Amino acid sequence: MGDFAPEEDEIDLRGIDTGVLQAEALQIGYQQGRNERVSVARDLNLQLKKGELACLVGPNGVGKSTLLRTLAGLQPMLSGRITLLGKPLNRYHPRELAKALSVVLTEQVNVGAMRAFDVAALGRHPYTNWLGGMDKQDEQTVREALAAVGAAPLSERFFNELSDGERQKVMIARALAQEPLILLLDEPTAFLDLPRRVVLMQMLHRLAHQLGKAILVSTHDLDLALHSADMVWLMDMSGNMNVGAPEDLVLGGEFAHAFTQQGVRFDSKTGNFSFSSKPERRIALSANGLARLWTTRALQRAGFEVVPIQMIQDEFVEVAEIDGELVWRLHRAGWAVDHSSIYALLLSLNE
Amino acid sequence: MTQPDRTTQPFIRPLPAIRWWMFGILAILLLLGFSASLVFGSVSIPFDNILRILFGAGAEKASWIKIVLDFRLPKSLTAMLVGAALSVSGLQMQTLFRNPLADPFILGINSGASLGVALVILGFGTTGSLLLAGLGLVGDLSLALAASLGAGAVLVLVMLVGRKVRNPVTLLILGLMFGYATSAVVSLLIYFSIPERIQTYTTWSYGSFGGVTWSQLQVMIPAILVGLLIAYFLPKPLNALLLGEDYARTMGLNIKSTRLWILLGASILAGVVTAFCGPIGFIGVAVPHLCRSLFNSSDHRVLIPAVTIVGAIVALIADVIAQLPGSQYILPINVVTSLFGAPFIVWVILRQRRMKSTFAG
Amino acid sequence: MKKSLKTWLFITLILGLSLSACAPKAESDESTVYLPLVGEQAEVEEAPEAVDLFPDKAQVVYAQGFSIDYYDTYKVVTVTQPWQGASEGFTYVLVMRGSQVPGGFEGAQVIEIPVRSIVTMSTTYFPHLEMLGVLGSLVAVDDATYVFNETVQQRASAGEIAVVGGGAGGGAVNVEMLLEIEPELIMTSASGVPEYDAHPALIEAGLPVVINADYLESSPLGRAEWGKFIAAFYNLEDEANRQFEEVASSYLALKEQVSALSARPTVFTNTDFQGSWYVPGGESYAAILLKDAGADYLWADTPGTGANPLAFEEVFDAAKEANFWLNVGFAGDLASLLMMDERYADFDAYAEGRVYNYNKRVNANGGMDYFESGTARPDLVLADLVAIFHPGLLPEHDFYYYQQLQ
Repeated sequence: MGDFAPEEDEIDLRGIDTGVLQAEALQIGYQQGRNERVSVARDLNLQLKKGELACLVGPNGVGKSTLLRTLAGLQPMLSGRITLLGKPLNRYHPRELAKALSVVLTEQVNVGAMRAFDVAALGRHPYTNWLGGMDKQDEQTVREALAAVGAAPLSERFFNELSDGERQKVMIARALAQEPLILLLDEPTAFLDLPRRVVLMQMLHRLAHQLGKAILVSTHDLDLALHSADMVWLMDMSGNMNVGAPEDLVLGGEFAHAFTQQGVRFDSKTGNFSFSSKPERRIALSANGLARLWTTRALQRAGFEVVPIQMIQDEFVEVAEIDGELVWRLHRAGWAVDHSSIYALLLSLNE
Repeated sequence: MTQPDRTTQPFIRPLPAIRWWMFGILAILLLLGFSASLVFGSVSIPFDNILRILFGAGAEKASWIKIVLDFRLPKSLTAMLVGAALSVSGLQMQTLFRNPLADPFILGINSGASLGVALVILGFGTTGSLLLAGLGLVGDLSLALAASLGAGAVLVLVMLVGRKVRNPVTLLILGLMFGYATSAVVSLLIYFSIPERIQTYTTWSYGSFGGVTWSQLQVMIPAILVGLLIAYFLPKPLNALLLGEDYARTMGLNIKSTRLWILLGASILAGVVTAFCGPIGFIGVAVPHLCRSLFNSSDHRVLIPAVTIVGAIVALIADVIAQLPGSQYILPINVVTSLFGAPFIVWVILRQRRMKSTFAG
Repeated sequence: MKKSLKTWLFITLILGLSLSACAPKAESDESTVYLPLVGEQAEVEEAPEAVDLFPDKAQVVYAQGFSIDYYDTYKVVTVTQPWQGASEGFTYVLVMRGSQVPGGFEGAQVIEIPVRSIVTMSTTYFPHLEMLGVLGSLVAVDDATYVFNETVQQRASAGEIAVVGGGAGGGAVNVEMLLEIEPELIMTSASGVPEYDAHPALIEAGLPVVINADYLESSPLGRAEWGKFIAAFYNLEDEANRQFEEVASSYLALKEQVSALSARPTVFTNTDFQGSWYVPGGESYAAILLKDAGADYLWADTPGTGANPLAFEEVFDAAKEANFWLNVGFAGDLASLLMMDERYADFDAYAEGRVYNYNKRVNANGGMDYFESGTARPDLVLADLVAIFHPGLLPEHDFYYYQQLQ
């Protein structure tokens, strides 16, 4: 199993600048009634490249699923062009398209009495004969796909008995077994807890880079996107799309803007949302490293603005290490009280 | 991230959990069922006579030869064909509509057939009979014809709509509406009809395997074979459809054409059965579930052959029960299939631990 | 304008009042059917004892479903079993027009006789009406589609006879139309199932309804004798008695002749439908006719007056070698019979062409006279049957109801 091998002469990979999946002046939306068309986003110019993990990020309801489904050919576009490897999407025979592109969707799948292996094996659909019989090569591909997502031990178990996260993995394995060049995943992290989300994104990143796949993941997990995406497609509520490396979008302020629209403050320094709106008091902090980072967060949550130690002398917090344990020493007008935890510190600050 | 360990994974056969030995048992059951339906009937014929008749060696009483060859043999064949046809059709409907309660008639096929038959029996009535008699079309053949036309009309409607509609649920609802509409017309016809005719129509609606003669089988067998043949080419698309139409499409399935083939095959099967035997319920819903439990699989490559055989067996058993061996009365098939079948299926399904998976589409 | 309208209204009012004042009294002196022996004016309250208003009484011999008791100015007709399984019967008090209604019959339907207009809800009644010469009093029927009687057919299509529904077919009875027609008698059959019966609605509307249960009689003569029941409403018992006497003696004579014969051919009836064959019981109307006609009905020993559903194969086993096959539904010829089921050809009776059906007299819509006048003329039916089974006995016979299928 390796790179998707182009079979037709038409396909022309003109270097890495051109995306394997490309949208020009794309308008997405849906039909409502006979003649009404509702536009979700317009004038989209997008590129998905080999060897890249792109994240489609945006608030709920902005149209991420619509975009993904349109790119996958599940929904018709309203106007514009979508090309895959240089050829318009709608000129692809379904089977050809299946060999180039596969998806993982949000819908719950209910397959009845089928084992995980069989479900993953369904991904070989475009390659098997009319009866769906698999040869050794097919079987190997499926097993490798399951292994790649870490679902190999689940093979013999019945799909409906797996947990949500396990099922998710099997569905990704299925998408991988299809041996596509392009993988589109719609909110794959939705069912997973944080550690598993991280693992999943890491795995997708690895698949993109090591196997040369072009992967697009839609998510509203901003943090994860910032960490793992090579490319971010940022959609905002007005249907505008900004594209770039995550860091570029942070520095350019687009991230902050996209979420400010929702009434939430994005903190460019931390790459996170600010939990509280305006700080009411100021306090100085003397600390280093991790202790500094986390104490700052706690103080900010409590409504403090944390300033450098030089600015305030009468009320400040000092973090020290005594006998291997961290101690928070609150200095107030010459007094110093030691607290063994941040929680205790905050309690005394709020008195 | 460590590399997945490929070397320690044992090589796994693609369908290891399939209970192939089940088919052997089923074949034996089929033979037993077939024999039973030949043996049991209102007239007591000793088993050795039956064997002699089957092998062309004559029997003690002349009427017995006719009875076995012209009454029981076609009835048993009909039962097997009907059981297989309804089960295969029901299986396809359940997968296409992702609905465990779907049956072969879910699109109103049998309502169309009922309407055709009702028009002949109740509507045109004696005028129609005289008319049809003049044309040489009186009796069961005209019924089968009327039922086929009715079923065919609904089928065409369904196919036309099926091309335009994106969502299978819409199709389902439309099918239900066809069903209600035709039932309403039938009710109207019943209201204005005389008791003898109503009784005739009611008898038809009870379902029967006994009304099919050899010459009717000449039409019925090819028609059912065509329907089955279509189905036997569809296990792969049906499997893909288990994941839902979206996934199936991204796996390379042409949804429109697949849907049409499934509808065509399943409707032919349902329509032919209704045309010749009246509407027979329950088999089409229950046998697919029974097979999923028996074989512990939703893979259509196993299920399609499985429901074919199990359906035949179930229909044969229902026929034997309907004969009420020992008494001179016979029960209508529909009564038997519902009364005996439902509790049995409940028992089988509850026995299985994987209740959730069995009920899934 | 207004003033003249007022004037007209006033005049109309006056006219109306005066007309109502002139309405004939309920009790009038008109109905003097009998001559007053006393010689005085006809005071009807107390009839003189020796006078018999109804010199001709119906003697009911064969019919078990009704009885008539005669009194001086009225008759009491009792229908003992109006439908299968009825727990009680109906009592009708038939009072001569102009006579006082006798006391002691609260709850019973009172009918003024002789009746001058009648509505029938079954085709078996108007043969009797025709035979009695009172077909002209028929003003409405339930359904004209299957009526064989040409006069009734013509008058129905000309609109002289109304169609009101309510019979065995044709939906609910049109009570409003009947109220407008104001018939003096409505004669209907009943099944005992309120949803299908017309009489509850009619009784509630205050219309004069009587139940005729002729179809419950299993004896052919008993069924025909209901002609006397109908005659009672017209005071035509004399005629009815005479006609029935002819029919009965004809029937019995033939039956007598036949009973002397020793050879009795075997016969079976009806057809299969979808594997079920409804075979009449040994005590049924059909079975009795066959027995009286000198045939050996294969199920003559089974009890019951109804029909039992048997499996086709069982009927085949019993009847394969039977001599005759009768009453095959709507089939007009052997070919269409065969179309119903190809296995009919295996019956010896079919192969030898000895299949007979009672559809010789049939109207355009399939209504058979056998079911219409056949009940009134069992002698003709019997003659047909005897001619079938024992042709030597009636060599010149012209088939009336039955025909041999070709």
